[in-house]
Amino acid sequence: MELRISEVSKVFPSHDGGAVVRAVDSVDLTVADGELVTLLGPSGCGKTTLLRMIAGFEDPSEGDLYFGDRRVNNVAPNRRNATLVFQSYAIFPHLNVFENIAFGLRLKGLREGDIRSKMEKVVHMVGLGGMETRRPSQLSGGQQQRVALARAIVMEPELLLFDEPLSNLDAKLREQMRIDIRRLQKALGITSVYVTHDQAEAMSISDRVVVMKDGRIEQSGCPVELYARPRNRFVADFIGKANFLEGTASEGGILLGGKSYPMDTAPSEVGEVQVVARPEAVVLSRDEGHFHCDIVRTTFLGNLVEYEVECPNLGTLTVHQVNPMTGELFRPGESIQVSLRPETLHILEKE
Amino acid sequence: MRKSLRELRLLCRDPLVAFLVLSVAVALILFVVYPLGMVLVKSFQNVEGAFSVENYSRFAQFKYLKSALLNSLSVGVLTGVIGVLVGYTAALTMVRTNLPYKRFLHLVFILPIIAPPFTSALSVLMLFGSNGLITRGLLGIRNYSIYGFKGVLISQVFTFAPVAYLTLRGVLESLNPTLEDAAMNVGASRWQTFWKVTFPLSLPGIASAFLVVFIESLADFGNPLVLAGSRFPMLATQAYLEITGSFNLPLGAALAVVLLVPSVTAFVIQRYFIQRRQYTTVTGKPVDSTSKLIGPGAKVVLHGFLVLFALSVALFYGVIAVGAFTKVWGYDFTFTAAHLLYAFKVGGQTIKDTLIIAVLATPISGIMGMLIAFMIVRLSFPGKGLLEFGSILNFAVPGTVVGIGYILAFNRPPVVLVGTLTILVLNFVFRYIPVGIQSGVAVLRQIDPSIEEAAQNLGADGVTTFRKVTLPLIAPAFFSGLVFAFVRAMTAISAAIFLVSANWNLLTVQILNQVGSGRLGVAAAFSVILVSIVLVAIGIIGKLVPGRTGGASAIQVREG
Ligand SMILES: Nc1ncnc2c1ncn2[C@@H]1O[C@H](COP(=O)(O)OP(=O)(O)OP(=O)(O)O)[C@@H](O)[C@H]1O
Ligand SMILES: [Mg+2]
Repeated sequence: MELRISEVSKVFPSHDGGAVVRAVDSVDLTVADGELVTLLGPSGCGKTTLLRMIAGFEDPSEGDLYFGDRRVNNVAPNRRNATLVFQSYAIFPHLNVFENIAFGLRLKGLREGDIRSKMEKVVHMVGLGGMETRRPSQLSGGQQQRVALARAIVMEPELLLFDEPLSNLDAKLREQMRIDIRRLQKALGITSVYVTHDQAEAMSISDRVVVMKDGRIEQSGCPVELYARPRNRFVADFIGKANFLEGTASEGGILLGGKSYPMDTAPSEVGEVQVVARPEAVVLSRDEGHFHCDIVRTTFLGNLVEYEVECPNLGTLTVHQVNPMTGELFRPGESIQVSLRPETLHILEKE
Repeated sequence: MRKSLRELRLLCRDPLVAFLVLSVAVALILFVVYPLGMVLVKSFQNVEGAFSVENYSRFAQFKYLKSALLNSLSVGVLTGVIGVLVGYTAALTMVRTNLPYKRFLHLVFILPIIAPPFTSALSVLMLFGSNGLITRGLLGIRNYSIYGFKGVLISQVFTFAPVAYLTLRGVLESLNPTLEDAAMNVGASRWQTFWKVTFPLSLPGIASAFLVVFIESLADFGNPLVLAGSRFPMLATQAYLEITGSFNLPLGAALAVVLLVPSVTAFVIQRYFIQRRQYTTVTGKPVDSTSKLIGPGAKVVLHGFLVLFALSVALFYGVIAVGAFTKVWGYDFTFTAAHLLYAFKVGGQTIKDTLIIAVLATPISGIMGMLIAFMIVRLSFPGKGLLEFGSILNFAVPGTVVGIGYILAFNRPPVVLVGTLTILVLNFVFRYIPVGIQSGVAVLRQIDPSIEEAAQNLGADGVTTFRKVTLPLIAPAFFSGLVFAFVRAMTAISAAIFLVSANWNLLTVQILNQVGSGRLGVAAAFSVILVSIVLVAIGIIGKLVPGRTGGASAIQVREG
């Protein structure tokens, strides 16, 4: 089922008579059938509010929501068939694992036999086999999370919603759950909206990422697109690390720190521009390069080395050198040559 | 306006919920607001029923009536001050020190809450009356009169200090002791820590406890009726006497209105100005205090005080227990079961009536209280603030006023209800829902709303969510609300005394009658029976409570 969000806004009245809060501001977004879209953004940017409007817990102040062709603005949350995996899990503390997961099925009035067979499938799918009779308080955080997930997917919803489902888990478990969620979602083919403020999570799990700020969509695109061609500084900064360089664009290419780089496509605007160069787009060498710079700091991270480099013409740069074990390491204080890979440079829109 | 329209639309999406809201509103208007309105209307009529302000001008003229107001207010303020002093000291000691027999002391302190509110009046008579154990027996004083100001004050302090204690204990328990540790950590002495941290933080709670005791003292009926005497008129009893003694209903109504003004004022201040300011954060888990606030010296003094107070309470209720089994109090202390047998003989029917009424009223009031609590915390609909105010208003309205209101409202054809079972049950239900509401609201605020949203998200409508998720989680609070409602229904008197009849009578009224006719032994026997029933009932309800784990773990989920 396709989800269409059309010019939706949410205004909260202020509590103390101050200005009202526009938590979500004219958001326009379509999630295709079977697609997993992530809402990504800093705390307070309106992700949860948007998700709660989709689930029906908040009413849009303006705009329309469509599930397929059906306008759902006035449909009660219990009639939407869009199940939500809550950030706090929201597991019913008075019911055991089985009854928690079967809760919605029982409300549908399914026969006991049907419930059992559906349950059996889902319990194994999420890896909770053998824990059906446990009480929620006897489960670890990760297991509780799986109950919440099972409870949502067993309903075979038209739309699956996630509100930072992994934020309470430790890093290792988080990665495992990411993979599991993605696998389940693909296998079941359920249209999904996933909220997170962790960009790595967003990149790894989504078909498409929607970056939000102050209730508005800054940019939406597949992970590669967002990383390689961020629209503006906010998006570039939020997704991955970035160096921002001041340059001058002309028909032929771009002038950075006195050195001209050709561009594949003609720049959209000429004159003063801001350019983003990802840390791995900067090449360090003892022998040749375009700029004379100094290493300020070297941090060994295992799969890569991160350098902080001071360049007279460009400013301070963050540089990633991958596969450090195969090349040579530079020490702080060393003077080196720096060059940029022209194909990875990207001109940002003016803000 | 647009907001309330939207809320209305939302409400209509769930027709059952809309229906519930409407029914509750209608019930509140009929059984809370309407009787009060009738009191107000009646107070502006003369005996013939024409409009007149003569009742109020009489009140302004007659010194006797004016002094009733003054007496009620001064007793109320003093009871409040002393009650809060005792209650705060006890609560602070209980919360901030470790005593081995803490639980036992706690039970002794709250004993007056489960006893009928005027049993302490009976004790005061048995201890300090003309045949009193202390006055005549110990000190050998003859013709000592305990009636009047001091009698009422002593008796009320014993009745209401436990209320202050319970309130303040809750307040102090939720004050994080880490704050005190922090103060001492930066160099404050214990004394400074108390005055600069603990006391200011508990000040809103203290003010709140004071006002609650003040309200209860103003509304108190049994103690003044037994102990005030004719030279010390008090408002609640005077209104009753005008109606039952002089058959002057309009004047009684006017006195009720005069009584209502300070009560409701105190209530509004307590609710809308003070409760908002409380610093207590409900985390669901009271922190077990390990603060070093109370030093060893202070601890000894405070313990001494606690033990003294507990002993006094024990003495107060001990004399009643003894009095129920002695021949003639003050003269002949030989054992007898005669009072008890007599009580069962003349009062058997009354005991049954009281039980039936309480058993009927308790669950209805409990369920309504929870429902209203749910509406207040979780739903939004136009007029919610009003509904909330209406539903807890009865907490502030003295029973006397309610009783008069019910006579006025439900004693005219076609609805002649006074003296019937229906009216007594209705009266109790609407008088004690505030208790259920308050405990319900407190628990609901601790249950993460997303648990209920999850149920809705999985297809449950409002009513199913309440039944399958909310109700099981609030069950423990529901049952403790039930206990309280039951205790109140068994021990109440002020409103009910207007509504009883030969067919349906109450134990409390019986006790008061026995005291009135000087049969202290029988009154004591009745009191013993009453308290026994209450204790047994608490035990039974406690057994019925389904595993307490549900609610407790709900609260933990919120924290996790
Ligand atoms: N019920 C409410 N009343 C008033 N303001 C609200 C309400 N709910 C959210 N807000 C405000 O709306 C804005 C967006 O909140 P929202 O919860 O959607 O943020 P979020 O992106 O989910 O943040 P986080 O990552 O911290 O969860 C915030 O400024 C918040 O304070
Ligand atoms: Mg959020």
